[in-house]
Amino acid sequence: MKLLAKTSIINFLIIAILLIAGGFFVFSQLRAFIDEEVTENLYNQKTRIEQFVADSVRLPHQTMQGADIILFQPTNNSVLESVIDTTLYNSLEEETQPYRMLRFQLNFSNQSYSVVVAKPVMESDDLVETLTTTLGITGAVLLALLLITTWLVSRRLWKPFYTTLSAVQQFQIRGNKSVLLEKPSTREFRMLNQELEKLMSRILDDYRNLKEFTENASHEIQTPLAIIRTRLEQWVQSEHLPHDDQDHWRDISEATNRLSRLNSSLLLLAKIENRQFVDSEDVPFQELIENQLHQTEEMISHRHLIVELDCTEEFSVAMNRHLATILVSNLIGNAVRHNVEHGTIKVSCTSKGITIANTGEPPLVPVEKLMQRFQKSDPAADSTGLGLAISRQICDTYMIAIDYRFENGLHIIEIRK
Amino acid sequence: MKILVVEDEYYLSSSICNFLTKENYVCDLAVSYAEAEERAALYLYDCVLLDVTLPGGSGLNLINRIKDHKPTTGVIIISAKNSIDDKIKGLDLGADDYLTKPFHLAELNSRIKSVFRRLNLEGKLEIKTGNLVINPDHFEVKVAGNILNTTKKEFQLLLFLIQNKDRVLTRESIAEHLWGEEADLTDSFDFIYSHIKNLRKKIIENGGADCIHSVYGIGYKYSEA
Repeated sequence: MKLLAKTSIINFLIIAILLIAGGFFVFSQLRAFIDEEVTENLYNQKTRIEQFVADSVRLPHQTMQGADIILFQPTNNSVLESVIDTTLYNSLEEETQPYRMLRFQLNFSNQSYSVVVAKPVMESDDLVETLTTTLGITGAVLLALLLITTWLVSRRLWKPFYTTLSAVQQFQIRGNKSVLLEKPSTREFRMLNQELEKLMSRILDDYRNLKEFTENASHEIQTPLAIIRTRLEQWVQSEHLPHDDQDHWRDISEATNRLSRLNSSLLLLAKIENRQFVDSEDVPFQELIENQLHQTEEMISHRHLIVELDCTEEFSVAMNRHLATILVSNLIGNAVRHNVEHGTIKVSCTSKGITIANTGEPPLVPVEKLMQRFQKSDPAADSTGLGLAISRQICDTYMIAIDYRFENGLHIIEIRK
Repeated sequence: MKILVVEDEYYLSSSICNFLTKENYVCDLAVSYAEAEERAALYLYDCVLLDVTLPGGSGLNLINRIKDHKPTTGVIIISAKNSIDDKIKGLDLGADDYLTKPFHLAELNSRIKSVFRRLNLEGKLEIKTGNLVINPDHFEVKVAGNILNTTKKEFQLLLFLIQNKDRVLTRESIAEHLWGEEADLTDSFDFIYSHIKNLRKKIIENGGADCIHSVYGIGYKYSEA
């Protein structure tokens, strides 16, 4: 949720709570005040009637007309003075209304009268209605004003924040470029920007170090590997190598070879990541594919594979030729290696991309994981599990899309510009 | 043949030297840039194996000096850096070949022989062993005077075996020699086996001796004994 939306919701809630609570308070205050006023008026009326009777020695006119009501009724009983709320018919407004009436006893020429004076009380409904309308309008205006101010303020005050945000979004660890942030006048944002800049340069440093470390480590491993290899080769020359030693030799030799391949693959990956292959030219892929197919000819005929090459258009990418060769050799190599006897390899290229489809056993590793490092579809296989990772790294470097899927018994690799 | 090994890693250089001495080369060692410079200026070598990263400087700077001193000295760079740029730079500076660590000694031996042949005998020398004659420039093998009909890979394999006569060649080193580093090992072992089988058959059919011996589980060896 946007910051503005959140602020608005909080504002709205606060205003609503305030208005509702305020409304109740005002309502009860008004109600009490009006009641008191009406009661006071009734007592005043009583005083005026008593005065009138004393002065003019007659009863005042009874009235049912209008809002106020005065009634006399002779009585023999004594009347208890009381204030009662009731509803009466108001002939002026032609409807039944809440009234407050005062009943009291009046003695006049030896006769007791029960006198009723009544005044209409303002209806609660009306009061509530008026209050709600007033407060509602006030609330709405307040909210609108707040929204506008928040929006304006957030545009102004938060501007550095959004600038920073979009700048940080541009930050790419592989772009190897630190993002330069502004120096806003707001202290918090200035501090945020400073910290972010520090963080980004630290990340870049770490990343660079890590990459350099990988490369250096791989380099350093080459020499000890070379020593092991040369010693191994000398060892095996000795004439009567005991049988046990032969087994040991084979195990060490195999492990050394694997280590050596793994290391050179990792080194290659590190170099691609470090963008050490700078030369770029327009590489025609058909030529590379044909070369690679030629180089794996032996294996292809050994496994009785049928190769179909269907290149109607030329697919070429501006990239490093060596990397393109590695990419093609990996993809074709996989298509041959992970094939079945008498299987097929179908390579088709258009100006948009290349599709390599080959028969083979279904992959044992989830399809989406195959491009990750050290993922092997057959754990026992004599491969490093880095081939596809290298291919993807090469494609990523040149913004080429690479997709793998398994469909109708075919492994399909597709690369697109 | 006199060879200078310039390599700062003692165990590696001593290993190489040990091996070269057994192959009847005379081997000198240099472990730093200064030492290599001195030796290259004082003595004449047939071949120099040159490491690039040396204490005291880059081995690449030595290439010119060595070549100036004796143009027919073969320079083979042995480096841990398997980068195309380095390779091209080294070859541009006059190096004759480039080997990336970790390499097989048999491969090194084969390269030294090829470089030596190219520089000193203008590549005209035929290699003779027993009644077998190999002409590397024409990809031709003669057994008892009969031209042997070999495929390219069979030819390369035979040459590699003969260049490393009397040594056990591991299957791995043969695979890398024939198909490069990217070779799929398990599959290539099958191919090597069938190539060897064909070669032996062809050589014997043409009146040659059966000199290719297999060393169980390890590799092959060309030996006339």
